[in-house]
Amino acid sequence: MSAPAMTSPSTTPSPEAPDPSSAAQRDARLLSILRWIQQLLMPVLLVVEVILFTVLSPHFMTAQNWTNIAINSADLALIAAGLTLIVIMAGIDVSTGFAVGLIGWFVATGMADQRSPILVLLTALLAGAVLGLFNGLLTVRLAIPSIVATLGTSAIFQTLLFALWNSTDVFARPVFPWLSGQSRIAGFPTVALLVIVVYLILHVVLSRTVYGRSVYAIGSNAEAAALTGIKIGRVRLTAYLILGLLIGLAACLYSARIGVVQASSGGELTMLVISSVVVGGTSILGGEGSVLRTLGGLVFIAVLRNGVVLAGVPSLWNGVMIGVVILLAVGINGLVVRVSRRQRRSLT
Amino acid sequence: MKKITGAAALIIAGAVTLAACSNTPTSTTGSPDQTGSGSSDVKVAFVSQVEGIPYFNGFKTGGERAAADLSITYTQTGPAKADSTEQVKILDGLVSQQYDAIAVSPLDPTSINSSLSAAASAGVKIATSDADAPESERAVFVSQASDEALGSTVMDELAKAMDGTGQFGIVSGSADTATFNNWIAAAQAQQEAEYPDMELVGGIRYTTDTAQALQEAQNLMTAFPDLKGIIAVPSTAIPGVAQAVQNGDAIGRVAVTGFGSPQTSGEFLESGAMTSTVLWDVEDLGYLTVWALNQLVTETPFEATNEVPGLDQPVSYDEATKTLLLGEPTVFTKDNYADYDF
Repeated sequence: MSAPAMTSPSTTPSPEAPDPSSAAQRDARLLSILRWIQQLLMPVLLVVEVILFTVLSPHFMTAQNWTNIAINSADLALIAAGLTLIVIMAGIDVSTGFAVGLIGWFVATGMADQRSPILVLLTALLAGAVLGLFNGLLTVRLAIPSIVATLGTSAIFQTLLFALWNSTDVFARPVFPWLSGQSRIAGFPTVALLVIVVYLILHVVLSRTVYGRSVYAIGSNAEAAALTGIKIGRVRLTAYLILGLLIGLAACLYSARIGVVQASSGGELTMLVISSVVVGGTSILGGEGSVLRTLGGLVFIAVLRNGVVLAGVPSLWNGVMIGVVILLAVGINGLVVRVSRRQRRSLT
Repeated sequence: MKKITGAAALIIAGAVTLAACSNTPTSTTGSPDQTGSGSSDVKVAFVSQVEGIPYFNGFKTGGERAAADLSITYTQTGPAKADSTEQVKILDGLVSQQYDAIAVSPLDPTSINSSLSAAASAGVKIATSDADAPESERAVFVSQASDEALGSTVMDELAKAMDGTGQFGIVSGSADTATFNNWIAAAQAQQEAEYPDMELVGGIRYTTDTAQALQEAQNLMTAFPDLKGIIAVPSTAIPGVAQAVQNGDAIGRVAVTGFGSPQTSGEFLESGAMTSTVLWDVEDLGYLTVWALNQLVTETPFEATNEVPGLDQPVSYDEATKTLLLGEPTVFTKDNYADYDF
């Protein structure tokens, strides 16, 4: 349904463009069109999606429904924000889901054992930091490609969760009332405000600080970044630490939201988190992206998962739609990279 | 150079994925030398759908009791998550370990067929239990209660809670689990026959885990504000759907029933988020399965009605479908769930 909206601008202008004198000029024009599409893809898709579901279901555009969407995707949003930093540096983390499940088990068990909430929250953050740093050290110090390292740790986290869970579902209470979906500030779900604060902070960090510039520099060209004096290892480790802390926080939200921790808990988050980042338009090749794009991708996916049910579409279609959008986003990104490489070659 | 490293990384990633798959935790509960080490050398095994959940733990308790009574060796194993390819691998492993008889609760009756045939031609007695693979070469299917009885009982329970009228939804598990589909078909047939004023809305929602079940239930309640009931089919969906009803302050407005074990549902039966849950005594099913496997190994034919020592009710056997039937489903409510620990 969204496909026609985006393919038309991409196909129509390029063939009809006036014949330029040189190939480089043509590429420059093509490149600016592609970048333009890249920027507009997500906003356009979001608008189309919201209009479509509003037309299809009278219950979609209601405060209650948007509250549900926000609460249900808050944990996802926190992790996606952290993962964005990693992806901008051309890395990846496929262990996030089971990291949430594993920490969620400790959170649920701690609350069931009547531990003090502040202790449980700190434990969750600490556990998140440890798991994050572990992933970071594997990739930074041992130079294992991040996808391989985190595939390994994902299997380990899953097995640990399975062993700890040991056939007993742990029923969880929220750690703090404000970390549960029921809490409101001025009518807004508190967890949604928490997500917005995290995104604003990370946006400022990425766009206004030395650290943020280092992240982009490493993603565009790690060797060049190292030559300019950026401590690549430290910047990468810090990003994994940030992601870990956010995973710890997300685990508190997750266990409060679901209310139970089982052997498979958290597993479904991994792909959703990666999808949110990629659909948002952060380049999987690194060097380009932002947390605000991720937020766009996340809202797109969360709304899609909600809207298809409300519109009465069989649930298998949301997989198809998310898949198509991922391919579109990655495809356009790949084109940008190819064209800009060709252009650079023809200029030199 | 960069391309080569990239390709290498991909290959390694693929290898790790494969390794990770085959390493999914498989709890081999009760290795042969642990459980029911009896005087005879009969070795029987059961492959569950997901090892470790309370339901299959109850099955194991019953199976081990039977193995002890019969003085045979019993092993129960299964995948850590409902994954039909993983289950086939586990079955193949057991066959090569030369068990005398193996029972399986197939996640996907089609994909497991060739392994079952191979096992049968290797001389292993094959049974299905808990779920069936009707096209396979299994010697017997040990049925908990017929799918029809279970489906219609759940529909009766839901109808009772909804006064036989209004909209209801169904949150199921994975779309390729035959058992779930049979229960749902039976429930729908019962509804069409007996409760014409009830209406299924939103279609059947397939889910993979608790988190997704929670969302689907919440979305169903949003899409259909007049929704009066939800059937939660797999044990992963039960806590999700019940939690959605609790979160949405819909206790008393939206009735929830399903096929959950008493322990999984207990919390929600207490809070009122679930009105009832329908299942069978799984310990008895485990007991009957091991008894049946032993009958197969000793080549004792089943009677039309079998007195099984250790079970209270006689067990009927249907020659045409080669099915042993444990009995009628059990309805668990707030009042009796605590008597069962699975």
